[in-house]
Amino acid sequence: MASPGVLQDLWHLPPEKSKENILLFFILYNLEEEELCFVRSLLIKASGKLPEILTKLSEMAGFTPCEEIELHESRVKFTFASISCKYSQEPTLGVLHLRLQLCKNFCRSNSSSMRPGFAPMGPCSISWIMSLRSLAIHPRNLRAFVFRTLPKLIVLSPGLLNKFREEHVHPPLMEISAGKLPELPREILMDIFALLEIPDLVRVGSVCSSWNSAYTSLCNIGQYKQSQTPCLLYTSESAGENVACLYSLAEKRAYKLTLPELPIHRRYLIGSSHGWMVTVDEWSEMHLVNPITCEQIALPSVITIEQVKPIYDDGGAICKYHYSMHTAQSVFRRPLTLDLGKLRYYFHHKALVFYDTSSGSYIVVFIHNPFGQLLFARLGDVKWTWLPSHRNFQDCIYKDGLLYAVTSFGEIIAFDLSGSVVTTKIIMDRVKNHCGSESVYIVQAPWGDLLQVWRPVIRIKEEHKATFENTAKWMEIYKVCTVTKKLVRIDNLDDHVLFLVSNQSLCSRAEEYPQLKPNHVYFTDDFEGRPFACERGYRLDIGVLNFGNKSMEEIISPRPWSNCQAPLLIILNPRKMDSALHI
Amino acid sequence: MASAGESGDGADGKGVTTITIISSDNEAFEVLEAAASMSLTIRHLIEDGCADGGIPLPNVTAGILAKVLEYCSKHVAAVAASSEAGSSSNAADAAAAPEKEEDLASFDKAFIDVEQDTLYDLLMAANYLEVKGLLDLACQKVADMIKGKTPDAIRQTFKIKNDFSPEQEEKIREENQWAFE
Repeated sequence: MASPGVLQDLWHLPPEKSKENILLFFILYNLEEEELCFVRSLLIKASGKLPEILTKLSEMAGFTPCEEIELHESRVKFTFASISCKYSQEPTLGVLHLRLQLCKNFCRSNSSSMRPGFAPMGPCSISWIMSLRSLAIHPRNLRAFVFRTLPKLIVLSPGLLNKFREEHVHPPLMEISAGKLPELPREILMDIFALLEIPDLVRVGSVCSSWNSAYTSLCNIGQYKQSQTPCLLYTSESAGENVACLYSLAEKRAYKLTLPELPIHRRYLIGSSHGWMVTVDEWSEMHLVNPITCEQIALPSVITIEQVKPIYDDGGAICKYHYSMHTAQSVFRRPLTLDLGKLRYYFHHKALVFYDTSSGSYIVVFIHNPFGQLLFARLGDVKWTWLPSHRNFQDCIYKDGLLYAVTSFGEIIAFDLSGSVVTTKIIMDRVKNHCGSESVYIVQAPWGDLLQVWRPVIRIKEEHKATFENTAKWMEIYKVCTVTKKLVRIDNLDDHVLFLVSNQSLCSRAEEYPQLKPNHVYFTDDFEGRPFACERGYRLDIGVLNFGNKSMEEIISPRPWSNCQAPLLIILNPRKMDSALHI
Repeated sequence: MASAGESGDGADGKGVTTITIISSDNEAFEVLEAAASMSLTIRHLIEDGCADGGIPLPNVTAGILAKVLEYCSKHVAAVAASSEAGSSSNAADAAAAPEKEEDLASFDKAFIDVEQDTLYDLLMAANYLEVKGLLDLACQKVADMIKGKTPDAIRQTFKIKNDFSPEQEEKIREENQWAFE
């Protein structure tokens, strides 16, 4: 294997493009014929691991996995009189294959004689690594790109370069003919598609094959519009068990998504983030579900939690749960023995999903009863990790590698989950001495502050709805000043919109959502004890509040969802999870 | 830093350097250097000292080049006016600022209201010449033409042929049916 020094040079990437795909060119310099041949390209992810890529490379070159190949840097001065490129005008699959064969034979015959000082260039080389946003898989585009960048790859004298170019028609950088709009180059199509909300984006990808290709690339590299307007996701009895209804706040219309093999109507929806919903099924087990891609990921089992013990039947299968209602500090009341689907009625409150950039993985934080205790797990963990030091949590966010969680008393605790032992720090002390009638949220404002949002827990019955409409609604928003450890009240959101979603509450600039109203708060019901309330005929507290005059409206009227299932506010994500690379 | 067509720095220090740009069909356009520099491509050529005798653009025809330069000139003038207003202590100037912004917005709106073929040309030219504002404006225009339309409607608007194979069509329909109604 090549020395690390050489490879480090090859991995020089412009920092601002470090998260994108990289198109690797595999160029063969054939010593015998003194020819430069373009062989193949390989698309890798910037975050990919070197051994994986080397394995792929050697496979491409026709080596068996255990054979050693030597890699050399390709910055070489050519002193030969003529250089020609055999990359033909219309490469077919057959031609590319031939190139590979050539490379393979050549390499094999010389493998025994390869030495670091082998001049001028080793037979199998990584020529350069270019960051390319659009995947130029069409031969015509690829050739144009290669020709444009080859001078950067190799040091050639101008004379040679001209001769190099003369052999082939220099591709025009653009053709201005009566070209139709759909024929735009992929790069520009992607720029356009990156402005679209998800339903439009999905439709645009279904128009024709070239647009579909641009759409797929855009999704894969995550360059679709990030500030998607949230949608309300809910289920209803009339729609069907496998159907999730999506109400787009941008378009003000509903869509029906069918999720095969996923009886979404029978699940509790307890949170959403990054396009994932956290659902609790009839065995009280949790999953992440992406309603657009229909992917489902299982989270650690509920029996790995301190308070939950399985009860087995005679056949050895789990038939009930033993739910012990204690915290690390005390026991709340005596334990319950519950049917499998009943545990979630009492136990599950809220779940939040965060993406940790430093470890490149998702972290799920679960807030459960009694007394708002915290658990967390990384995707791939087999069990939940308990955070027993504090309780009464209602909400949390993940910022700069730390988990900030707020309690019903207004305390904010920061957890550092990165080490083997979790450490905590108190960011904010209690602001209240009793709790119960309010719900608190912690939100990251786009201007950098942390916000605390206080919202009354409103439980009214359907028949009292009319009187409720006339009472003043309140909601309090405070800025957290970490230096003075005080809350500073905010009276106006100005040109921002606040979403109190069942997870990852958001405060965003209203200009990102032209269809929504600035200085308004969109909220849904994520209070603890929802199932109890619903059974007793209480309405779910969902709507949009005008923070200026404190008037409230329904988001959708009449309410289309089944009463006991609160809708989630969800921001869609069309990208399929690449589990191998944890994206 | 060599620049062509220098008419000398104005005494007021504003700098009225002009640049000549030559289209593919050999038509010459003289514009303010500041306006031409809205194109990163042209700006780099000026900085590299390639502007003597005019900058040839073998890939842009006169018609489109004229439009692009019109956009650049208008925007550069607006930037200059607003920075003047910003530094001026005149209340009337400051009050006029949002109005000027509106003017620019309506200019943009009218400017990009063109036929599809011209829109295509503008997109390609803005991309090649790296005029970010124009590229963004044109992309948004196309995005607005797409919003809310079903795939069939999109195909009709842009006269696109559905070139999926029956299997591909089936697969796409299965995955994305929810969005089509």
